[in-house]
Amino acid sequence: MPAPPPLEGALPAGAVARFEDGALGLVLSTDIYSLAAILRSSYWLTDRCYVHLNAAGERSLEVTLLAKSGKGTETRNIAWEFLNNLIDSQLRISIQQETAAVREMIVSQAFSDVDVIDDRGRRVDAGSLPKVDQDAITTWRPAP
Amino acid sequence: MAASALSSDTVLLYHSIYPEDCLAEACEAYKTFADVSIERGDVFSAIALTPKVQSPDSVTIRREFLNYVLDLSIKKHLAS
Repeated sequence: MPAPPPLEGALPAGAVARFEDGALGLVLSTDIYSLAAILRSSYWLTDRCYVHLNAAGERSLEVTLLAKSGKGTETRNIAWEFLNNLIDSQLRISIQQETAAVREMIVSQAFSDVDVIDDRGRRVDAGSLPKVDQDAITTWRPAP
Repeated sequence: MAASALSSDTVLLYHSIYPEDCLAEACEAYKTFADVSIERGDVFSAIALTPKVQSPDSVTIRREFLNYVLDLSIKKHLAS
């Protein structure tokens, strides 16, 4: 597999900084990547890499990465992996937020004694009673 | 070219990322390895870590400390 390209050429100007100790600094906009996504992806790296997070302006964050081996190529590879993982984390968080109401409804139904969702998956209003089939409860049927 | 925060003697830790109680917990955990001085501000704390034994590993201890605080902070953020 070919080695990934240097970050400096692939990312917008100012988004990457290279330090004399071999560390790489990535400036990330928190409008695109939430703090939760950045934290999740950072956590995923701490066994292989030293990580430091710093506020870089009001709506951006600087992530400094340095491979524990100290090798520049490894730091670069980890930085690319981090950026890919960041998209994954952000997507998971967005989907989690979008489907929160549905998940909450399913869990409520699973632990409830009464129906909170009707046959068509619509939420039953609190206090309203389900429609009773009068015919079924008043018509006597012999046991089969 | 400057050195990164991972190699600096003094590092700024923003409270919005690194909660103060996580920093205190990390200092307690590292007290046998290093002396940590903390200058607390409203938004961030400036920390200077001096390993108790001066060796080539001093920088590694500093970096491991930063990873440790980060791990604690992330666990706290994700649990809330």
